[in-house]
Amino acid sequence: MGHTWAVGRHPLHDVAIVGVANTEQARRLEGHTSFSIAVEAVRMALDDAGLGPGDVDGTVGAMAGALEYQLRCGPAWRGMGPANAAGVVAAGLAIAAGYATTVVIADGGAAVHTDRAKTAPWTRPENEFVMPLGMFTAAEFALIARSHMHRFGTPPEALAEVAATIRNNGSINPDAVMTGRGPYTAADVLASPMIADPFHRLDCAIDSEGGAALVMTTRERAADLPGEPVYVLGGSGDRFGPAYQHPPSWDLGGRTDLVNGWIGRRAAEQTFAMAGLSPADVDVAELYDPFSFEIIRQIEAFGFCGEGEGADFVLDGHIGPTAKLPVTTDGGVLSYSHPGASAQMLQRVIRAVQQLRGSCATNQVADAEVAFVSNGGAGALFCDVLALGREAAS
Amino acid sequence: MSPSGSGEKNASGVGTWLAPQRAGIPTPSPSLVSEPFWAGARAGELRYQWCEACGVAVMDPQPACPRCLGSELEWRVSSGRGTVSSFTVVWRAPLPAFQVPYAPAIVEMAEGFTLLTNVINCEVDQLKVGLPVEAVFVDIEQDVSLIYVQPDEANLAPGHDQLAT
Ligand SMILES: [Zn+2]
Repeated sequence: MGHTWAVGRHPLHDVAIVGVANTEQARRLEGHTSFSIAVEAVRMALDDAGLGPGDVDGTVGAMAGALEYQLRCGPAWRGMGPANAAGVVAAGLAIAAGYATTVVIADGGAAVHTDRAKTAPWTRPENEFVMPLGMFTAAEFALIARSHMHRFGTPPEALAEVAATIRNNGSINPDAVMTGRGPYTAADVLASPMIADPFHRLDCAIDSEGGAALVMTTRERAADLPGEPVYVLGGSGDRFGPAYQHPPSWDLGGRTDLVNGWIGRRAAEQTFAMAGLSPADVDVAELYDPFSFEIIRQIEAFGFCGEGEGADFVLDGHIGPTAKLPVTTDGGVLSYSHPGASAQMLQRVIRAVQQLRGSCATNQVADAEVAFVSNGGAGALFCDVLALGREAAS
Repeated sequence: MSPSGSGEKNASGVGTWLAPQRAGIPTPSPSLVSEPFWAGARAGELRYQWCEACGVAVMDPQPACPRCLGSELEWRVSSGRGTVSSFTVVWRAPLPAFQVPYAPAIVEMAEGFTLLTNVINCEVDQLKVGLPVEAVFVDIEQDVSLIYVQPDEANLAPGHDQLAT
Protein backbone atom coordinates (compact mmCIF):
# COMPACT_ATOMS: atom_id res chain seq x y z
CA MET A 1 0.00 0.00 0.00
CA GLY A 2 3.00 2.26 0.36
CA HIS A 3 3.58 5.31 2.50
CA THR A 4 0.65 6.97 4.22
CA TRP A 5 0.60 10.60 5.18
CA ALA A 6 -0.72 12.14 8.34
CA VAL A 7 -3.74 14.21 7.33
CA GLY A 8 -2.93 17.90 7.10
CA ARG A 9 0.80 17.34 6.93
CA HIS A 10 1.37 16.92 3.22
CA PRO A 11 3.30 19.74 1.47
CA LEU A 12 0.62 20.01 -1.23
CA HIS A 13 -1.72 21.28 1.46
CA ASP A 14 0.27 24.52 1.55
CA VAL A 15 -0.81 25.53 -1.97
CA ALA A 16 -4.00 26.65 -3.70
CA ILE A 17 -5.35 27.04 -7.20
CA VAL A 18 -6.32 30.68 -7.58
CA GLY A 19 -7.03 31.14 -11.26
CA VAL A 20 -8.36 29.02 -14.12
CA ALA A 21 -9.42 29.70 -17.68
CA ASN A 22 -10.38 28.02 -20.90
CA THR A 23 -10.41 30.14 -24.05
CA GLU A 24 -13.06 29.59 -26.66
CA GLN A 25 -12.83 25.99 -27.88
CA ALA A 26 -13.67 25.13 -31.48
CA ARG A 27 -12.96 22.66 -34.25
CA ARG A 28 -10.80 25.42 -35.77
CA LEU A 29 -9.79 28.77 -34.28
CA GLU A 30 -8.83 30.99 -37.20
CA GLY A 31 -5.94 33.37 -36.66
CA HIS A 32 -4.40 31.48 -33.75
CA THR A 33 -1.31 29.43 -33.17
CA SER A 34 -0.95 26.99 -30.30
CA PHE A 35 1.14 29.54 -28.43
CA SER A 36 -1.13 32.52 -29.07
CA ILE A 37 -4.16 30.67 -27.77
CA ALA A 38 -2.20 29.49 -24.72
CA VAL A 39 -1.18 33.09 -24.00
CA GLU A 40 -4.80 34.15 -24.23
CA ALA A 41 -5.65 31.47 -21.65
CA VAL A 42 -2.85 32.73 -19.38
CA ARG A 43 -4.16 36.30 -19.60
CA MET A 44 -7.64 35.07 -18.65
CA ALA A 45 -6.40 32.84 -15.80
CA LEU A 46 -4.24 35.60 -14.31
CA ASP A 47 -7.22 37.95 -14.55
CA ASP A 48 -9.37 35.32 -12.81
CA ALA A 49 -6.76 35.17 -10.04
CA GLY A 50 -6.44 38.93 -9.69
CA LEU A 51 -2.77 38.70 -10.62
CA GLY A 52 -0.58 40.08 -13.38
CA PRO A 53 2.43 38.83 -15.36
CA GLY A 54 4.77 40.47 -12.86
CA ASP A 55 3.53 38.10 -10.16
CA VAL A 56 4.55 34.92 -12.00
CA ASP A 57 7.82 33.25 -11.05
CA GLY A 58 7.20 29.73 -12.30
CA THR A 59 5.86 27.98 -15.41
CA VAL A 60 4.87 24.44 -16.38
CA GLY A 61 4.17 22.90 -19.78
CA ALA A 62 5.66 22.30 -23.20
CA MET A 63 5.48 26.07 -23.76
CA ALA A 64 7.03 27.00 -20.40
CA GLY A 65 10.14 28.52 -21.95
CA ALA A 66 8.21 30.67 -24.41
CA LEU A 67 5.86 31.73 -21.62
CA GLU A 68 8.73 32.83 -19.38
CA TYR A 69 9.94 35.11 -22.14
CA GLN A 70 6.43 36.30 -23.05
CA LEU A 71 5.67 37.13 -19.39
CA ARG A 72 9.16 38.53 -18.77
CA CYS A 73 9.09 36.55 -15.57
CA GLY A 74 12.67 35.33 -15.09
CA PRO A 75 14.52 34.28 -13.14
CA ALA A 76 11.81 31.67 -12.84
CA TRP A 77 11.34 28.07 -11.79
CA ARG A 78 10.28 25.77 -14.64
CA GLY A 79 8.49 22.46 -14.26
CA MET A 80 9.82 19.89 -16.68
CA GLY A 81 6.57 18.08 -17.40
CA PRO A 82 3.45 18.74 -19.45
CA ALA A 83 0.65 21.11 -18.46
CA ASN A 84 -1.66 18.58 -16.84
CA ALA A 85 -2.55 17.07 -13.46
CA ALA A 86 1.06 15.95 -12.98
CA GLY A 87 2.09 19.53 -13.69
CA VAL A 88 -0.22 20.70 -10.92
CA VAL A 89 1.50 18.30 -8.50
CA ALA A 90 4.96 19.44 -9.68
CA ALA A 91 4.04 23.11 -9.35
CA GLY A 92 2.43 22.50 -5.96
CA LEU A 93 5.51 20.80 -4.62
CA ALA A 94 7.78 23.52 -6.03
CA ILE A 95 5.67 26.22 -4.37
CA ALA A 96 5.54 24.31 -1.08
CA ALA A 97 9.32 23.88 -1.18
CA GLY A 98 9.93 27.53 -1.91
CA TYR A 99 11.23 27.29 -5.49
CA ALA A 100 8.46 29.60 -6.70
CA THR A 101 5.55 31.55 -5.31
CA THR A 102 3.12 31.80 -8.22
CA VAL A 103 3.16 29.30 -11.06
CA VAL A 104 1.31 29.37 -14.37
CA ILE A 105 0.44 26.06 -16.01
CA ALA A 106 -0.74 26.47 -19.58
CA ASP A 107 -1.05 24.85 -22.97
CA GLY A 108 -2.98 25.25 -26.16
CA GLY A 109 -3.51 23.77 -29.57
CA ALA A 110 -4.33 25.51 -32.85
CA ALA A 111 -3.44 24.95 -36.49
CA VAL A 112 -1.79 21.63 -35.63
CA HIS A 113 -4.11 19.08 -37.21
CA THR A 114 -4.06 20.37 -40.77
CA ASP A 115 -3.95 17.15 -42.82
CA ARG A 116 -7.48 15.85 -42.31
CA ALA A 117 -6.83 12.67 -44.32
CA LYS A 118 -4.80 11.58 -41.30
CA THR A 119 -5.91 11.36 -37.70
CA ALA A 120 -4.60 14.10 -35.39
CA PRO A 121 -0.79 14.04 -35.05
CA TRP A 122 -0.91 13.36 -31.29
CA THR A 123 -2.85 10.14 -31.95
CA ARG A 124 -0.09 8.53 -33.99
CA PRO A 125 3.34 8.80 -32.39
CA GLU A 126 6.15 7.48 -34.50
CA ASN A 127 7.96 4.43 -33.21
CA GLU A 128 9.41 1.47 -35.06
CA PHE A 129 7.37 -1.05 -33.06
CA VAL A 130 3.97 0.60 -33.40
CA MET A 131 3.71 2.81 -36.50
CA PRO A 132 4.32 0.12 -39.18
CA LEU A 133 1.58 -1.90 -37.48
CA GLY A 134 -1.01 0.84 -37.93
CA MET A 135 -1.17 1.58 -34.23
CA PHE A 136 -2.73 4.82 -33.02
CA THR A 137 -4.36 5.87 -29.79
CA ALA A 138 -7.75 4.29 -30.54
CA ALA A 139 -6.10 0.91 -31.17
CA GLU A 140 -3.87 1.21 -28.09
CA PHE A 141 -6.85 1.82 -25.81
CA ALA A 142 -8.95 -0.79 -27.66
CA LEU A 143 -6.39 -3.47 -26.76
CA ILE A 144 -6.81 -2.64 -23.06
CA ALA A 145 -10.62 -2.52 -23.40
CA ARG A 146 -10.67 -5.95 -25.07
CA SER A 147 -8.66 -7.45 -22.21
CA HIS A 148 -11.14 -6.12 -19.65
CA MET A 149 -14.12 -7.31 -21.69
CA HIS A 150 -12.59 -10.77 -21.92
CA ARG A 151 -11.68 -10.89 -18.23
CA PHE A 152 -14.92 -9.54 -16.77
CA GLY A 153 -17.52 -9.92 -19.52
CA THR A 154 -17.84 -6.15 -19.85
CA PRO A 155 -20.46 -5.61 -22.59
CA PRO A 156 -20.17 -3.05 -25.42
CA GLU A 157 -23.42 -1.52 -24.08
CA ALA A 158 -21.56 -0.35 -20.96
CA LEU A 159 -18.95 1.44 -23.07
CA ALA A 160 -21.75 3.02 -25.09
CA GLU A 161 -23.51 4.14 -21.90
CA VAL A 162 -20.36 5.99 -20.81
CA ALA A 163 -20.02 7.67 -24.20
CA ALA A 164 -23.68 8.71 -24.27
CA THR A 165 -23.57 10.07 -20.71
CA ILE A 166 -20.46 12.19 -21.21
CA ARG A 167 -21.43 13.34 -24.70
CA ASN A 168 -24.80 14.42 -23.32
CA ASN A 169 -22.97 16.47 -20.70
CA GLY A 170 -21.25 18.21 -23.60
CA SER A 171 -24.43 18.50 -25.61
CA ILE A 172 -26.02 20.85 -23.04
CA ASN A 173 -22.78 22.77 -22.39
CA PRO A 174 -22.79 25.94 -24.51
CA ASP A 175 -18.99 26.11 -24.29
CA ALA A 176 -18.45 22.59 -25.65
CA VAL A 177 -17.18 22.11 -29.17
CA MET A 178 -19.99 19.58 -29.68
CA THR A 179 -22.68 21.67 -28.00
CA GLY A 180 -26.12 20.88 -29.35
CA ARG A 181 -24.99 17.54 -30.79
CA GLY A 182 -27.19 14.87 -29.32
CA PRO A 183 -28.66 13.88 -26.98
CA TYR A 184 -27.39 10.38 -27.61
CA THR A 185 -28.53 7.00 -26.41
CA ALA A 186 -26.26 4.03 -25.97
CA ALA A 187 -27.91 2.61 -29.10
CA ASP A 188 -26.80 5.70 -31.06
CA VAL A 189 -23.23 5.09 -29.95
CA LEU A 190 -23.37 1.43 -30.99
CA ALA A 191 -24.84 2.44 -34.36
CA SER A 192 -22.03 4.90 -35.14
CA PRO A 193 -19.27 3.63 -37.46
CA MET A 194 -16.67 1.30 -35.97
CA ILE A 195 -13.23 2.91 -35.64
CA ALA A 196 -11.16 0.37 -33.68
CA ASP A 197 -13.27 -2.45 -32.28
CA PRO A 198 -14.83 -2.15 -29.65
CA PHE A 199 -14.73 1.64 -30.16
CA HIS A 200 -17.30 3.26 -32.39
CA ARG A 201 -16.84 6.83 -33.52
CA LEU A 202 -18.90 8.16 -30.60
CA ASP A 203 -16.69 6.23 -28.13
CA CYS A 204 -13.63 8.23 -29.28
CA ALA A 205 -12.32 11.67 -28.36
CA ILE A 206 -12.89 14.56 -30.73
CA ASP A 207 -10.10 16.85 -31.84
CA SER A 208 -10.35 20.58 -31.60
CA GLU A 209 -8.48 23.79 -30.79
CA GLY A 210 -8.26 26.00 -27.75
CA GLY A 211 -6.19 27.07 -24.77
CA ALA A 212 -6.24 26.35 -21.06
CA ALA A 213 -4.37 27.81 -18.11
CA LEU A 214 -4.26 27.53 -14.35
CA VAL A 215 -2.52 29.63 -11.67
CA MET A 216 -1.27 28.28 -8.34
CA THR A 217 0.22 30.03 -5.38
CA THR A 218 0.79 29.60 -1.67
CA ARG A 219 -2.22 29.07 0.54
CA GLU A 220 -1.10 32.12 2.48
CA ARG A 221 -1.01 34.35 -0.59
CA ALA A 222 -4.31 32.91 -1.87
CA ALA A 223 -6.02 34.29 1.21
CA ASP A 224 -5.12 37.84 0.10
CA LEU A 225 -6.47 37.44 -3.45
CA PRO A 226 -9.96 38.50 -4.51
CA GLY A 227 -11.07 35.11 -5.92
CA GLU A 228 -12.22 31.90 -4.33
CA PRO A 229 -9.26 29.52 -3.99
CA VAL A 230 -9.51 25.78 -4.43
CA TYR A 231 -7.16 23.59 -2.44
CA VAL A 232 -4.99 20.67 -3.43
CA LEU A 233 -5.76 17.80 -1.04
CA GLY A 234 -3.54 15.26 -2.74
CA GLY A 235 -2.13 14.13 -6.05
CA SER A 236 0.08 11.49 -7.59
CA GLY A 237 0.77 9.53 -10.74
CA ASP A 238 1.58 6.03 -11.99
CA ARG A 239 3.75 5.18 -14.99
CA PHE A 240 4.94 2.01 -16.71
CA GLY A 241 7.07 3.46 -19.51
CA PRO A 242 6.78 5.62 -22.61
CA ALA A 243 3.33 5.91 -24.16
CA TYR A 244 2.70 4.26 -27.52
CA GLN A 245 6.00 2.44 -27.97
CA HIS A 246 5.40 -0.96 -26.36
CA PRO A 247 2.43 -3.35 -26.32
CA PRO A 248 -0.26 -1.86 -24.02
CA SER A 249 -0.94 -5.16 -22.34
CA TRP A 250 -3.18 -5.55 -19.30
CA ASP A 251 -0.55 -7.65 -17.53
CA LEU A 252 2.39 -5.33 -18.17
CA GLY A 253 4.05 -5.30 -14.78
CA GLY A 254 6.89 -3.76 -12.90
CA ARG A 255 8.33 -3.89 -9.43
CA THR A 256 5.09 -4.77 -7.62
CA ASP A 257 2.23 -7.08 -8.56
CA LEU A 258 0.07 -4.12 -9.60
CA VAL A 259 -0.27 -4.33 -13.40
CA ASN A 260 -0.90 -1.78 -16.14
CA GLY A 261 -4.57 -2.78 -16.25
CA TRP A 262 -4.95 -1.10 -12.84
CA ILE A 263 -2.69 1.84 -13.52
CA GLY A 264 -3.73 4.79 -11.36
CA ARG A 265 -4.67 2.63 -8.37
CA ARG A 266 -1.44 3.26 -6.51
CA ALA A 267 -1.67 6.97 -7.31
CA ALA A 268 -5.29 7.09 -6.13
CA GLU A 269 -4.48 5.27 -2.88
CA GLN A 270 -1.65 7.71 -2.22
CA THR A 271 -3.89 10.65 -3.07
CA PHE A 272 -6.75 9.54 -0.84
CA ALA A 273 -4.25 8.93 1.97
CA MET A 274 -2.78 12.43 1.56
CA ALA A 275 -6.28 13.89 1.62
CA GLY A 276 -7.48 11.73 4.50
CA LEU A 277 -10.41 10.75 2.29
CA SER A 278 -11.90 7.70 0.61
CA PRO A 279 -13.66 7.30 -2.76
CA ALA A 280 -17.02 7.65 -0.96
CA ASP A 281 -16.10 11.25 -0.07
CA VAL A 282 -15.85 12.34 -3.70
CA ASP A 283 -18.70 14.57 -4.89
CA VAL A 284 -17.67 14.89 -8.52
CA ALA A 285 -15.11 13.02 -10.68
CA GLU A 286 -13.63 14.89 -13.59
CA LEU A 287 -12.11 11.82 -15.21
CA TYR A 288 -10.12 11.73 -18.42
CA ASP A 289 -12.16 10.12 -21.17
CA PRO A 290 -10.04 9.60 -24.28
CA PHE A 291 -12.18 6.55 -25.04
CA SER A 292 -15.39 5.50 -23.31
CA PHE A 293 -13.95 2.31 -21.81
CA GLU A 294 -11.25 4.17 -19.89
CA ILE A 295 -13.91 5.53 -17.51
CA ILE A 296 -14.99 1.99 -16.58
CA ARG A 297 -11.38 1.00 -15.94
CA GLN A 298 -10.65 4.10 -13.91
CA ILE A 299 -13.63 3.86 -11.57
CA GLU A 300 -12.52 0.30 -10.79
CA ALA A 301 -8.83 1.22 -10.47
CA PHE A 302 -9.56 4.19 -8.20
CA GLY A 303 -11.87 2.18 -5.95
CA PHE A 304 -15.22 3.79 -6.78
CA CYS A 305 -16.40 0.22 -7.36
CA GLY A 306 -14.84 -3.24 -7.32
CA GLU A 307 -12.82 -4.91 -10.08
CA GLY A 308 -15.15 -6.00 -12.87
CA GLU A 309 -18.06 -4.00 -11.42
CA GLY A 310 -17.55 -0.91 -13.58
CA ALA A 311 -19.98 -1.99 -16.29
CA ASP A 312 -22.84 -2.49 -13.83
CA PHE A 313 -21.89 0.77 -12.10
CA VAL A 314 -22.37 2.77 -15.29
CA LEU A 315 -25.34 0.76 -16.58
CA ASP A 316 -27.09 1.34 -13.24
CA GLY A 317 -26.83 5.07 -13.90
CA HIS A 318 -24.25 6.02 -11.27
CA ILE A 319 -22.12 8.35 -13.44
CA GLY A 320 -24.81 10.74 -14.67
CA PRO A 321 -24.75 14.44 -13.77
CA THR A 322 -27.18 14.03 -10.85
CA ALA A 323 -26.10 10.52 -9.84
CA LYS A 324 -23.93 9.20 -7.04
CA LEU A 325 -20.68 9.91 -8.93
CA PRO A 326 -21.13 12.59 -11.59
CA VAL A 327 -18.33 11.99 -14.11
CA THR A 328 -16.75 14.42 -16.59
CA THR A 329 -19.54 16.96 -16.30
CA ASP A 330 -18.55 19.34 -19.12
CA GLY A 331 -18.40 16.69 -21.85
CA GLY A 332 -14.70 15.92 -21.54
CA VAL A 333 -12.56 15.10 -24.54
CA LEU A 334 -15.50 13.20 -26.03
CA SER A 335 -17.45 16.42 -26.48
CA TYR A 336 -16.12 19.52 -24.68
CA SER A 337 -12.68 19.80 -26.32
CA HIS A 338 -9.41 18.05 -27.10
CA PRO A 339 -7.04 20.84 -28.09
CA GLY A 340 -3.75 19.03 -28.62
CA ALA A 341 -1.41 17.03 -26.47
CA SER A 342 -2.02 18.32 -22.94
CA ALA A 343 -4.43 21.28 -22.65
CA GLN A 344 -7.33 18.82 -22.60
CA MET A 345 -5.81 17.11 -19.56
CA LEU A 346 -5.46 20.44 -17.75
CA GLN A 347 -9.12 21.07 -18.60
CA ARG A 348 -10.11 18.18 -16.30
CA VAL A 349 -8.46 20.09 -13.44
CA ILE A 350 -10.08 23.35 -14.50
CA ARG A 351 -13.54 21.78 -14.56
CA ALA A 352 -13.00 20.36 -11.07
CA VAL A 353 -12.06 23.86 -9.83
CA GLN A 354 -15.21 25.30 -11.44
CA GLN A 355 -17.32 22.59 -9.76
CA LEU A 356 -15.84 23.38 -6.34
CA ARG A 357 -16.38 27.10 -6.86
CA GLY A 358 -19.98 26.41 -7.84
CA SER A 359 -19.48 28.32 -11.07
CA CYS A 360 -20.51 25.73 -13.70
CA ALA A 361 -23.26 26.99 -16.01
CA THR A 362 -24.37 23.41 -16.67
CA ASN A 363 -24.30 20.26 -14.56
CA GLN A 364 -23.20 22.09 -11.42
CA VAL A 365 -23.04 19.46 -8.68
CA ALA A 366 -24.82 20.91 -5.64
CA ASP A 367 -22.52 21.68 -2.72
CA ALA A 368 -19.52 19.94 -4.26
CA GLU A 369 -16.82 19.80 -1.58
CA VAL A 370 -14.38 17.25 -2.98
CA ALA A 371 -13.47 16.68 -6.63
CA PHE A 372 -11.33 13.88 -8.03
CA VAL A 373 -9.42 14.39 -11.29
CA SER A 374 -7.64 11.95 -13.60
CA ASN A 375 -5.44 12.19 -16.67
CA GLY A 376 -4.10 9.53 -19.01
CA GLY A 377 -5.05 5.88 -19.09
CA ALA A 378 -3.86 2.31 -19.43
CA GLY A 379 -3.54 2.53 -23.22
CA ALA A 380 -0.87 5.19 -22.68
CA LEU A 381 0.90 3.53 -19.72
CA PHE A 382 0.32 6.50 -17.42
CA CYS A 383 -2.37 7.76 -15.08
CA ASP A 384 -2.25 10.90 -12.95
CA VAL A 385 -4.79 11.85 -10.30
CA LEU A 386 -5.63 14.79 -8.04
CA ALA A 387 -8.02 15.40 -5.18
CA LEU A 388 -9.17 19.01 -4.85
CA GLY A 389 -11.25 20.56 -2.11
CA ARG A 390 -13.44 23.61 -1.55
CA GLU A 391 -12.03 23.68 1.96
CA ALA A 392 -8.33 23.37 2.69
CA ALA A 393 -7.00 20.22 4.29
CA SER A 394 -7.21 20.66 8.03
CA MET B 1 -8.87 -19.70 -46.18
CA SER B 2 -8.05 -17.64 -49.21
CA PRO B 3 -4.98 -15.44 -49.25
CA SER B 4 -6.26 -13.71 -52.37
CA GLY B 5 -8.59 -12.00 -49.98
CA SER B 6 -12.18 -11.98 -51.11
CA GLY B 7 -13.88 -12.10 -47.77
CA GLU B 8 -17.48 -11.18 -47.21
CA LYS B 9 -18.36 -7.59 -47.90
CA ASN B 10 -20.18 -5.49 -45.36
CA ALA B 11 -22.73 -2.80 -46.12
CA SER B 12 -20.10 -0.24 -47.09
CA GLY B 13 -18.49 -2.67 -49.52
CA VAL B 14 -15.41 -3.22 -47.36
CA GLY B 15 -14.22 -6.79 -47.05
CA THR B 16 -13.73 -8.66 -43.80
CA TRP B 17 -10.62 -10.56 -44.86
CA LEU B 18 -7.51 -9.54 -42.92
CA ALA B 19 -4.76 -9.07 -45.49
CA PRO B 20 -1.19 -7.88 -44.97
CA GLN B 21 -0.42 -4.24 -45.71
CA ARG B 22 1.38 -3.14 -48.86
CA ALA B 23 4.14 -0.67 -49.71
CA GLY B 24 3.42 2.92 -48.74
CA ILE B 25 2.86 2.46 -45.02
CA PRO B 26 5.41 3.96 -42.62
CA THR B 27 8.39 1.66 -42.29
CA PRO B 28 10.58 1.12 -39.23
CA SER B 29 13.78 3.06 -38.60
CA PRO B 30 15.77 0.49 -36.62
CA SER B 31 18.11 1.51 -33.84
CA LEU B 32 21.42 -0.10 -33.01
CA VAL B 33 19.60 -2.20 -30.42
CA SER B 34 16.66 -3.24 -32.59
CA GLU B 35 18.48 -3.85 -35.89
CA PRO B 36 18.92 -7.61 -35.26
CA PHE B 37 15.13 -7.92 -34.85
CA TRP B 38 14.50 -6.27 -38.21
CA ALA B 39 17.30 -8.23 -39.90
CA GLY B 40 15.57 -11.33 -38.53
CA ALA B 41 12.28 -10.23 -40.07
CA ARG B 42 13.97 -9.95 -43.46
CA ALA B 43 15.50 -13.40 -42.97
CA GLY B 44 12.20 -15.00 -41.97
CA GLU B 45 13.09 -15.25 -38.29
CA LEU B 46 11.28 -13.85 -35.26
CA ARG B 47 14.25 -12.95 -33.08
CA TYR B 48 14.04 -12.06 -29.41
CA GLN B 49 16.60 -11.40 -26.68
CA TRP B 50 17.37 -13.81 -23.89
CA CYS B 51 19.19 -13.27 -20.58
CA GLU B 52 20.97 -16.49 -19.74
CA ALA B 53 21.57 -15.38 -16.13
CA CYS B 54 17.89 -14.76 -15.38
CA GLY B 55 16.17 -17.01 -17.89
CA VAL B 56 14.15 -14.01 -19.10
CA ALA B 57 12.95 -13.45 -22.66
CA VAL B 58 13.02 -9.77 -23.64
CA MET B 59 10.82 -7.92 -26.15
CA ASP B 60 10.76 -5.10 -27.33
CA PRO B 61 14.55 -5.08 -27.86
CA GLN B 62 16.43 -3.48 -24.97
CA PRO B 63 20.09 -2.72 -24.24
CA ALA B 64 19.91 -4.74 -21.00
CA CYS B 65 17.93 -7.39 -19.16
CA PRO B 66 15.05 -5.75 -17.24
CA ARG B 67 15.63 -8.05 -14.25
CA CYS B 68 19.44 -7.94 -13.69
CA LEU B 69 20.33 -5.04 -16.02
CA GLY B 70 23.00 -7.27 -17.50
CA SER B 71 24.00 -6.37 -21.02
CA GLU B 72 24.82 -9.95 -22.03
CA LEU B 73 21.62 -10.53 -23.98
CA GLU B 74 21.68 -13.26 -26.58
CA TRP B 75 19.52 -13.12 -29.72
CA ARG B 76 17.44 -16.26 -30.15
CA VAL B 77 14.94 -17.34 -32.77
CA SER B 78 11.36 -17.87 -31.64
CA SER B 79 9.25 -20.86 -32.65
CA GLY B 80 6.84 -18.20 -33.90
CA ARG B 81 3.99 -19.80 -31.97
CA GLY B 82 1.85 -17.85 -29.59
CA THR B 83 -1.62 -17.00 -28.35
CA VAL B 84 -3.61 -13.82 -28.92
CA SER B 85 -4.19 -12.10 -25.57
CA SER B 86 -5.91 -9.02 -26.99
CA PHE B 87 -6.87 -7.66 -30.39
CA THR B 88 -8.75 -4.89 -32.13
CA VAL B 89 -9.99 -4.43 -35.68
CA VAL B 90 -9.27 -1.04 -37.20
CA TRP B 91 -11.86 0.27 -39.67
CA ARG B 92 -10.66 3.89 -39.73
CA ALA B 93 -6.90 4.01 -40.15
CA PRO B 94 -4.64 6.77 -38.83
CA LEU B 95 -3.10 7.19 -42.28
CA PRO B 96 -4.65 6.65 -45.71
CA ALA B 97 -1.83 4.24 -46.62
CA PHE B 98 -3.23 1.53 -44.36
CA GLN B 99 -5.80 -0.79 -45.94
CA VAL B 100 -8.72 -1.55 -43.63
CA PRO B 101 -9.70 -3.69 -41.95
CA TYR B 102 -6.57 -4.74 -40.15
CA ALA B 103 -6.18 -6.31 -36.74
CA PRO B 104 -3.55 -5.10 -34.26
CA ALA B 105 -3.02 -7.75 -31.59
CA ILE B 106 -0.98 -8.52 -28.53
CA VAL B 107 0.43 -12.04 -28.70
CA GLU B 108 1.95 -14.00 -25.82
CA MET B 109 4.70 -16.03 -27.47
CA ALA B 110 5.62 -19.57 -26.45
CA GLU B 111 9.06 -18.41 -25.28
CA GLY B 112 7.50 -16.01 -22.75
CA PHE B 113 7.72 -12.63 -24.44
CA THR B 114 4.95 -10.33 -25.67
CA LEU B 115 4.69 -9.25 -29.29
CA LEU B 116 2.63 -6.41 -30.72
CA THR B 117 1.67 -7.32 -34.29
CA ASN B 118 -1.30 -7.72 -36.65
CA VAL B 119 -3.29 -10.91 -37.25
CA ILE B 120 -3.60 -11.63 -40.99
CA ASN B 121 -4.82 -14.35 -43.34
CA CYS B 122 -8.17 -14.90 -41.65
CA GLU B 123 -11.66 -13.47 -41.44
CA VAL B 124 -12.43 -10.78 -38.87
CA ASP B 125 -14.91 -13.16 -37.25
CA GLN B 126 -12.16 -15.70 -36.51
CA LEU B 127 -10.42 -13.35 -34.10
CA LYS B 128 -10.72 -14.14 -30.42
CA VAL B 129 -8.72 -13.93 -27.23
CA GLY B 130 -6.90 -17.24 -26.93
CA LEU B 131 -6.54 -17.78 -30.68
CA PRO B 132 -3.38 -19.84 -31.38
CA VAL B 133 -1.24 -18.10 -33.98
CA GLU B 134 2.05 -18.50 -35.80
CA ALA B 135 4.43 -15.89 -37.17
CA VAL B 136 4.31 -15.05 -40.84
CA PHE B 137 6.83 -12.83 -42.62
CA VAL B 138 5.69 -10.33 -45.22
CA ASP B 139 7.96 -8.29 -47.49
CA ILE B 140 6.41 -4.82 -47.55
CA GLU B 141 9.03 -3.22 -49.76
CA GLN B 142 12.66 -3.77 -50.61
CA ASP B 143 14.61 -4.46 -47.39
CA VAL B 144 11.51 -3.99 -45.20
CA SER B 145 9.70 -7.04 -43.83
CA LEU B 146 7.08 -7.08 -41.11
CA ILE B 147 6.32 -9.93 -38.75
CA TYR B 148 2.60 -10.66 -38.61
CA VAL B 149 0.78 -13.67 -37.19
CA GLN B 150 -1.90 -15.90 -38.70
CA PRO B 151 -4.10 -18.61 -37.18
CA ASP B 152 -2.01 -21.64 -36.34
CA GLU B 153 -3.79 -24.39 -38.29
CA ALA B 154 -1.97 -27.17 -36.46
CA ASN B 155 -3.21 -25.94 -33.11
CA LEU B 156 -6.71 -25.20 -34.39
CA ALA B 157 -7.19 -28.89 -35.30
CA PRO B 158 -9.59 -30.99 -33.20
CA GLY B 159 -8.01 -32.00 -29.93
CA HIS B 160 -6.07 -28.77 -29.67
CA ASP B 161 -8.89 -26.36 -28.98
CA GLN B 162 -8.11 -26.39 -25.28
CA LEU B 163 -5.70 -23.61 -26.17
CA ALA B 164 -8.63 -21.39 -26.96
CA THR B 165 -10.52 -19.74 -24.16
ZN1 LIG C 1 19.00 -10.85 -16.47
